[in-house]
Amino acid sequence: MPALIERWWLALKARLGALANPRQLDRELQEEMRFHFERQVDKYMLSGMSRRDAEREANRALGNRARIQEEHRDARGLRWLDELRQDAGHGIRRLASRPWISASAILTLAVGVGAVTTIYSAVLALVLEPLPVPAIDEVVVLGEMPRGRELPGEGWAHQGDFGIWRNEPVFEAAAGLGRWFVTMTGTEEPAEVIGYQVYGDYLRVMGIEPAIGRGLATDAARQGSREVVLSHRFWKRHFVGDPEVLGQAVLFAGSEHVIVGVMPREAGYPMGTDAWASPPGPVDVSDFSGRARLAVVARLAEGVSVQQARAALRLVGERTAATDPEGHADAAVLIEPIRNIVTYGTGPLLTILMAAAGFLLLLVCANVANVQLMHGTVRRPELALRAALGAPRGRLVRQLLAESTVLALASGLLAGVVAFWGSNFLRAGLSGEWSRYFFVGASKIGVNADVLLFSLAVSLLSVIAFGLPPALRAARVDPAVDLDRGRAASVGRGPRGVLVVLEMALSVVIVTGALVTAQAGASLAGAELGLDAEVATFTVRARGQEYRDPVTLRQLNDEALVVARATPGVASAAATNRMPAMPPGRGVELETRSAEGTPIGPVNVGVVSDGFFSTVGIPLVAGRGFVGGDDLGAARVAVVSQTVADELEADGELIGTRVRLEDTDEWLTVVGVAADVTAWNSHVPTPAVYLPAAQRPPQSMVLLMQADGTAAELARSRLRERHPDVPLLEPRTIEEAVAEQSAPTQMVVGLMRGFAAVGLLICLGGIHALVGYLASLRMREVGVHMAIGADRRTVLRLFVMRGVKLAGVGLLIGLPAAFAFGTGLTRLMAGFMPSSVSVANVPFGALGGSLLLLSALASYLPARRAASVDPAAVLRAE
Amino acid sequence: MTRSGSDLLRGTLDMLVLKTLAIEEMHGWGICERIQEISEEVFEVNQGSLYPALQRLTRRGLIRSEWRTTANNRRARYYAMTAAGRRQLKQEIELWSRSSSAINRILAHAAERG
Repeated sequence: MPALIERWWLALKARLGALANPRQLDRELQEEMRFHFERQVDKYMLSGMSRRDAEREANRALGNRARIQEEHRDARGLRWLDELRQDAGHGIRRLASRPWISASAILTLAVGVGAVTTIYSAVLALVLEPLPVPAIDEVVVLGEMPRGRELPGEGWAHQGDFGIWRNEPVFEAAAGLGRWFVTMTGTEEPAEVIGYQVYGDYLRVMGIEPAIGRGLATDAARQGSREVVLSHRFWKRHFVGDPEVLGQAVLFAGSEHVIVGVMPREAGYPMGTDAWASPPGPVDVSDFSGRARLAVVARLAEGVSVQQARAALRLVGERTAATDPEGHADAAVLIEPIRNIVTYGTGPLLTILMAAAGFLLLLVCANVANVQLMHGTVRRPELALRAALGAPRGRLVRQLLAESTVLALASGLLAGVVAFWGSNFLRAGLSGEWSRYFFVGASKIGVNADVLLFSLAVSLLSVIAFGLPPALRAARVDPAVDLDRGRAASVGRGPRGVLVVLEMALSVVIVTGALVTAQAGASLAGAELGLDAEVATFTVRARGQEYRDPVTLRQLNDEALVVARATPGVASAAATNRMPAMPPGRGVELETRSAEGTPIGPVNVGVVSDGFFSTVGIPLVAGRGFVGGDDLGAARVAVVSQTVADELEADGELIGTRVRLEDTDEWLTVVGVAADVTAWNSHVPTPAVYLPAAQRPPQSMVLLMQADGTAAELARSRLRERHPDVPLLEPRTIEEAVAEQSAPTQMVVGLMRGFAAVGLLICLGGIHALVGYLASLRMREVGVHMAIGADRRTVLRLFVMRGVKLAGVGLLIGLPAAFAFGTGLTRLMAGFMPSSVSVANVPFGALGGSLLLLSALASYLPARRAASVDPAAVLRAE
Repeated sequence: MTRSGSDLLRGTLDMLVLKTLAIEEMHGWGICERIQEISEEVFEVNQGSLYPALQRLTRRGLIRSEWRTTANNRRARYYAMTAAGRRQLKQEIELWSRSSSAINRILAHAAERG
């Protein structure tokens, strides 16, 4: 045993020594050889030779010292390291010798890998771990929905059910959340709070610990204790992230609540929650008879599956239906893993981007592979030469690998930068105030190292896979043949043509994807929206108890208008219930009195004050807007938008006709027709009917002013002085509001456009390169043709047609695929985008035509170079 | 008989070096002379290939070396066998004798027939 250890120890020392200080070993060898030489000389001289003869003989006996040095280095067992260094240096030199090709390869790889990394890293961040909840798959959301209207995440349980459900053994813990949308007052500025009162142990269900402080007290002794836990975002926003906030008492809904804790970042469920509060009544009562609606989350007990829980709940449902038929008739109990609820919004968006990025990477790989193939044939003579000079095949392969690795490292670095920017862009698009209700975990988007490495490996593989065969072939084939460059194998068929066709097909698909998503893109310009987008706004959210009374509410609204109008710098002011130019809700149907036809619809109903149309810049096409006279006591009136008017058009005047909204009893007289307003995510105007605010005061009011920022802010602070308890939220222009809400869509559209543009560029570049390569290879043929009389134009046409033909085949394959892709996209976006988005809107004819044209152009440039060659010169070069 | 680089001969050279060092520690030139001496000039070691062989054996941990001053006040590197080297040598000798007796038997058999 000791012998073995000794051996290993010495072996290790020898290797480390060789690694650490090769030059010393070289010197020592020199010294040894010198000693050897001297002794040999001595020996020869002793036997009678002259010094000079002895030295000569000794040298001969010793042999070639350089060779000995080399073999000695070999024997150190580190040859591979040396060779690696050599190969790497060689690889770098090779790449540098062809700067354009190398740069474009590195760039395209970086873009493809970077794009894929950005998107797929985001997917990991948003979908795999949307909430910082341990064992997230054990957490489910429960709800009761009327049968036939099940939508994920929209079920609300009755409190009664919650009391029953939480006792089921399938659940380890359950919590019910009751809506608590209130106002926070007593601080610098009153704030609107999206909150929930919590029954049960919410933190236990989620498995989260508060970032600071503690959770709500759950023991019965603390009933009605008025505690509140804030969300991280709310805390940052309204309390400047000050940890001293713990223990402070703040007024929520008019009564004092003590802030006991703050949740960790992005930990909220339901999404967008600002605060969780202790419930008004007893916390732990299992016998609820109230009809308040609760959102219920629960954690499954150990080993229980969602299916089992579903079955258990169904049994419970049957039991309660038997005992309380009218309360639960026709309701279905839903149970959904919380992950699905929380990622509902991101799913389609990410799928679209994942597909597009994937296609782009494929395109990039095809392109790079093509370059490698072309390169490979060009390099054949050189490789053949090296093989003839004795380089072993393994060495050639290793050199190719080294070159590819250098390429991969360079592109990897650049791809990392691209992914970094891309992630920032993505994160910014999904982190807005509005977005937090739909996308959770956006702040976690970043570059995932695994994804980067994986996509890099994929692209590296394509580089090697297509660069290897030429290298191997070169080492095998008769060097004499390959040194003769003029002998070119048949080109344009085989792998190179296929790759270009593939690139074109992929480009078409990506471009179509961009064209489909672009339809949902935002129009931010006021002109496209149909109003003055620079109108300043803020929202008056009258939530307090006192404003339940319509009289008080109307007084507040009137006062707000008066104050605004009286503020210097405000040219005019008006109010409405919803910000204009936003995507409409579900809409209602409209019926006309002279109804031969069927009801029109759906139309969007807006409640507006007098002076609305002039303030917001919506021209009145006919009739009038609302005036002071259209108040409670007067006849019920309405203004319709142009599209609605067109649909309603009976013969004669529209003004004065009667219309009725679905589900109401009153008939309204049409007094005016307003120009159309288009929502930001549509290119088709929103059909709208406007009602006077005086006749239907809105609970939440958006105040609109023709004023600049300072004047608007002045108006807002004046109103706040009068009503310090009413939150006056979100001061911004219509333009800003649209930008904020459309940020995610804008981001997706922007990314898709980017992918399409880059993809197309790379594809055209590929065609350009291929045609150029064909031309250079066929140089001799061209020379011959031209020498025997073919004119320039024929030659040109030959090459251009080659490129166009390849593009054509690509289109043939790509267009159906693109259509399928576009249809899939439309279906994916159906829930989120207006129905006007459709794959049918994509002008496939024009698209195909323009792509062919671009391909022709891309082929023309290198073809022109080929055709301008001097036939005599070419033939002479043979 | 001198050849360069073939594995078979490398292995033989290594074994010869080990055998030489089994008797006595010595420097590179001494090993060279000794091998020539013992083999009665049949093996004229390509002197140059000795040093890579010595490096190989060092790397494998079968010999170790240190620099010393000779009687003539010159600096030389002396090599010695390690315990592992001793064991390796024994194995190699056994293998060698087994192969050579097998070859002898084949040749004898062939001679009988032929």
